[in-house]
Amino acid sequence: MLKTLIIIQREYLTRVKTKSFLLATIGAPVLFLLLPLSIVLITEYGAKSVTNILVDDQSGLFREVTFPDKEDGSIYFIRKEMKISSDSAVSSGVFDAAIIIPQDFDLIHTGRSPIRFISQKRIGLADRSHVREEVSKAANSIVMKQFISDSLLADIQKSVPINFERMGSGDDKSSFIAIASVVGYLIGFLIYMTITIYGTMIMRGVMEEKNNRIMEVLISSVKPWQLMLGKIFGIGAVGLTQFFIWALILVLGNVILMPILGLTMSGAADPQMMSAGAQPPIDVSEIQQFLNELKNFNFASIGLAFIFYFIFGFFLYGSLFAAIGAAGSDETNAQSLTIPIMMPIMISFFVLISALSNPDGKLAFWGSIIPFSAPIIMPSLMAFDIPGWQIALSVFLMIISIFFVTFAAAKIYRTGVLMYGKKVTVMEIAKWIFK
Amino acid sequence: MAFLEINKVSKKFGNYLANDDISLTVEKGKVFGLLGPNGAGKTTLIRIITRILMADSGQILFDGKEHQDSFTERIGYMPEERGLYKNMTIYDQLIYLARLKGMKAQAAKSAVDHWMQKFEIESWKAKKIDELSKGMSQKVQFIATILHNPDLIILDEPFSGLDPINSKLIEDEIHALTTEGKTIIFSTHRMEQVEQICDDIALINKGQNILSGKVAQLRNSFKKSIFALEFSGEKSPVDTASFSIVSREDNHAMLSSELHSNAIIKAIMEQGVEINSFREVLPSIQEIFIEQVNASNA
Repeated sequence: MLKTLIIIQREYLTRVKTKSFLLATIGAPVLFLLLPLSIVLITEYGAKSVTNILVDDQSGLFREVTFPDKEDGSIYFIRKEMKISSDSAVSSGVFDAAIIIPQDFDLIHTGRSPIRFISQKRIGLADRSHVREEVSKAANSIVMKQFISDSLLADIQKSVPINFERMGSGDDKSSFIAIASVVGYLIGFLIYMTITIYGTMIMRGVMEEKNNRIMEVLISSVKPWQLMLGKIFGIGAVGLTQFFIWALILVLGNVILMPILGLTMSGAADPQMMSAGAQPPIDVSEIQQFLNELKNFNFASIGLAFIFYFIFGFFLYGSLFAAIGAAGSDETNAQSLTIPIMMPIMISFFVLISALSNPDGKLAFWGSIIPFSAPIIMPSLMAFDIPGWQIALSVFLMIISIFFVTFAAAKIYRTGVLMYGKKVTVMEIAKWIFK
Repeated sequence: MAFLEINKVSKKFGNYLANDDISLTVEKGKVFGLLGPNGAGKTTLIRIITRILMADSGQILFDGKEHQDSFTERIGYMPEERGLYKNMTIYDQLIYLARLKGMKAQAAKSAVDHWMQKFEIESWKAKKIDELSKGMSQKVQFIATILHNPDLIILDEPFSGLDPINSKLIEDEIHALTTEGKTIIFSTHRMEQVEQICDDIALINKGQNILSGKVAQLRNSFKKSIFALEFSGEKSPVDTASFSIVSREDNHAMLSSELHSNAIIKAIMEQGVEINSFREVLPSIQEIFIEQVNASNA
């Protein structure tokens, strides 16, 4: 037992002490912050191009409607009030584009003599759809106005509120579902990434020892299973350290950033304040709303599930990666042997995406029960209400399978570490288990 | 006194019999040579002794007791294929390896200091294996093997890749260890070293122990009654009833005779030949090795 601890200690310290660990641990949150920032910067930069669109209404049907400019100021509609032709206005560069509504345009049969849109530069997809949407809206409202009054029209076009309720749990807000999906996705992604990255790290570590031939010295001192457990736990602890540091950064970031933005996590009075028409800057109110929704999450159970499934999932896959590292004769051989392990991880991640859109569905259920996908899917679903028996079943199956998988992995490991220079196939490895 | 007794040990891999009923005894404080061609089953036997592998049948007594896992702490093993961690300093990995052999952190540190000093490599402490030459890392590997003061030391080709100076250093260390009462098993292909270093040997071929015993006794028992004569003066020896000439070159001659040395010398003197030196030629271990392996393969 003591020797296993010594092994864990080495595996942990030799990795945590490296520059690459520091870089990854500090770098990841920085990247995480830079990514949205860069998106903002790119959109800002992109928004600088303004498209002035000349509206040439030859039919006169659109006389009384206005085409609203795009909110970000990238598209302006300007009604034609001059004599020159739209074509020359665009080709001379005075306008970027023109919408030409032909004289015989028919509001009912809109395709008979279609509206033309001419431009010199290429118009992007977003701008095209904006133009299409505004023109269609205008055309619809002109048609409807012939039958109903303006005020009634405004009323009709409002979206109808629906209160979604779930029996027994009261309020079931869409915003909650949306945020739960995002939280679930992030959790699943995090576990998926760590199992893949750290699993590969385990595999490489075992291969290093085997190819270095230090393995022979090691297993003459300790049992192969001690070596395997030491590696899995040691590298798992590196992963947990990384999570812990990230969580710390997150908490510190909240403590420091939230007062600056004028946000509170408790914020009980805020929704009323907002609906009463007090006007905080728009983006902040959205974040505040997001924070208020987050309050509804049971973070204790999500966190607990995350830790449990991370550790067990990591152990399940980690022991398989260790077995592959021991069995593989070289990098390429090992790489090809990882396919049967990577497959369930990747499939689980794809299942997760569809499971999140339907957390009560069959796919989500089976995904959260089967031990090979449960570590990715179950903690992601925890943000939704999952029945207790389903969680219990999942945990039970997880523990049972850990027992069998590590047992099999240890057998593969034991045989594999003494095999040199021989390329092995998955079938041969399977035989080692039953030897 | 026997330190390690191996009784009828067998090990099978699938249908391949790697060790077939091997029995041998390693005396305490002696150097035991484990010889055999490639693939003879030496490594398997060593792995059984180090408990990396378990024998299918047979018994091993370690210092008089049934062999068990905890005894691995009393064994130091240097495999033929050497290896150390690339991403750790020499100092750190020596301590790590010592601790895996059950040493306390403090004791491991002072042992590492002691041996690094003794081998004059203290200045390498913070270096990594990649920065060292092959011979240097060999020294480190040797230290790793004996660091925890093991009673049984198993060295698989310990001299490969070493220059004469470092070879001598290791050889002296092997002798020093035996005088301290340590037992050494030494596996090699290089027969001249066997004669220099080993007290006893066992010759393994095709998984079987085909020959074992004391080096001197073995050479004696395989002698072919050949004598080397160096002479000077006018007369050279000729065939008599006492001996026959096998070969002659300048003032060297090889004689064959069933008689005792004294009788042969007397016969040579009677021929009026001036003897400069006379000795019986014992077969080298290498000759015995080749002969025995070929005989057992035939």
